Amino acid sequence: MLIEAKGVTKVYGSGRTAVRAVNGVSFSIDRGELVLLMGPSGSGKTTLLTLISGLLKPTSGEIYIDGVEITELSQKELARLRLEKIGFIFQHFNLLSALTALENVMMPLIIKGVSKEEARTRAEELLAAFGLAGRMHHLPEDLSGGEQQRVAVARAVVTEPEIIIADEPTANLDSKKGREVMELIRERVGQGKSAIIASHDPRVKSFADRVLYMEDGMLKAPEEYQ
Amino acid sequence: MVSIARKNLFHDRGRLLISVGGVAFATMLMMTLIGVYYGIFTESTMYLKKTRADLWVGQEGIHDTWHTYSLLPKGLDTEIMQVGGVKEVHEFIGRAVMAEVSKVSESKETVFIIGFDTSSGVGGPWEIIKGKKIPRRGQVVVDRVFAMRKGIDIGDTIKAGGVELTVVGISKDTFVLVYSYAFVTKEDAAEIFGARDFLNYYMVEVENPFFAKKIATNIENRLRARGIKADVLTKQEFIDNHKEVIDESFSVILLPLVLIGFFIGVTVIGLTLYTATLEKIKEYAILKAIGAGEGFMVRIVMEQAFTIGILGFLCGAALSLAAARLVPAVAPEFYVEINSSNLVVSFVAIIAMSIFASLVPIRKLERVDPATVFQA
Repeated sequence: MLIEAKGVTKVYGSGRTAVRAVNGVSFSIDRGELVLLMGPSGSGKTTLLTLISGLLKPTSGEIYIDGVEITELSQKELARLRLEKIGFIFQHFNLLSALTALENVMMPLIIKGVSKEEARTRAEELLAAFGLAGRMHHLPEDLSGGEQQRVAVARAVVTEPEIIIADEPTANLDSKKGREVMELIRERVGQGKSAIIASHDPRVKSFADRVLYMEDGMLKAPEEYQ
Repeated sequence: MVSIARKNLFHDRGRLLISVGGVAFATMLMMTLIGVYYGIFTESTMYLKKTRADLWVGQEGIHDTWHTYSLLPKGLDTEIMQVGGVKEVHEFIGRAVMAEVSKVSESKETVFIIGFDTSSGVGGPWEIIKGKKIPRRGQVVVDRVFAMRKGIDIGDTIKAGGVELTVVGISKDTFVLVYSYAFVTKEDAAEIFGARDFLNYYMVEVENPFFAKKIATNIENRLRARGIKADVLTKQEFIDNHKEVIDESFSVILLPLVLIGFFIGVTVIGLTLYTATLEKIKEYAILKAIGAGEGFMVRIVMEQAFTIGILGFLCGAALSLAAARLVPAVAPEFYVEINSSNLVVSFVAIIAMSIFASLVPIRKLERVDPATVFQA
């Protein structure tokens, strides 16, 4: 198992105003598995992704990434874990606006300490493979939504992370561009990585090995899910 | 490295330009003020440096020519000459007096009259830009700044202590901040001061300056044995005493102004970094989310701070050099000295500015919550 959550709960606030965004969630994801997390807005999908990423500490419960219990790690260790093991894809692409597509993809490698030359070579190869060879020296503002999301996927996978965490990766794309992005993610999963994708988009279902349904902070059986 | 720091900074060139301009202004303010400070030191001690005297013999307890006048009886030169290692002894008669410029009605100004031995020239002007170097009785060599300010030239007259003196020469680098030197014969000086039996200092040349300190002690002892209480100072001690007077008088004025320049620089860099940080706060959260550690974030802010600081320093140094040339043309009494020490002090100040200015933005970045990347 690459990811395992045991009784994870996240409560925001306290007393009468306390909100259980995630409530006793347990699940696991194996290597080579693409899991889709579906549920209505406010169901706790994004909070669950944030917890798995180590960006938020759960109120209770345990989360294991590749056998390591991450709730006990320091901020520095969590940053290292994200850099080594996780690639992120966001709904709004979240590229760095002052950097070109190439520099955006190079950035995780640079943070990791890879030499500039090697980072450039790897990023160029990846962008070319993603069909962006002619667009790599453009700033994000000069790229279309589909191109920006492909750059974001390239940035997420350039360090060869074992886990891809994506939040609504197709929400701002038309069906063709959305499918292209999902194909890129699926291809990576086919290489032995894992992915967990939070999405409302029913088109994403066809790419998933398994679907987890979430409502009111809890995972539901498919038949219970409205 | 892909410099996100510089990319972010140069992304908004207008703001960068304003920031660099602000730092350049602060640098120029600091460098020019420090330059004025060094300039005052240089100008004020130039006479002592240029005069051929290894030792200054003055009244006991009086250690500079500005505070209180040293008074010694005339005729001690033969006593001093008896001390081993002494080569020559010259008389120095000098003090500040009010002088009237006859060409300009109601125009009075303080000048420091120096009476010197015209036969040896020791204690007199060292560089003349007009006229002659050695005055005769009834003649005076005045300073260039004094001449410019009063609009006087060769052939004009000034009156000091009731003695009328004709200007025969104009000297250079003989201005001491608030007044200028005017050189006359020692006989005229004695008449102006009304002190025929006294003088102010004996200037001593020694055979070997290496033994100056030892000779100074011997002169003191010899004079003391004759009932004369005198202090004998080496040239460097005498210069240092004058520097100390300047330091006491002007550091209290200049230091606050230099500090103002420093704080302007810190504020400009700090505000630029802070607004740049706030503007890109979401992007810093992205960097944290993908695994950038605190060190990486701190380096971004520091690199931005140093980029602004160093660009501002280079522009400010260029402006200061221009100011150093322009200021004397407008205000000849000021000499702005941009030397290596001034450059080093200003550069260190810029580095300090950059570090101080980074503290708040770094603190802001430390608090950035990477979890916000999932928020719309």
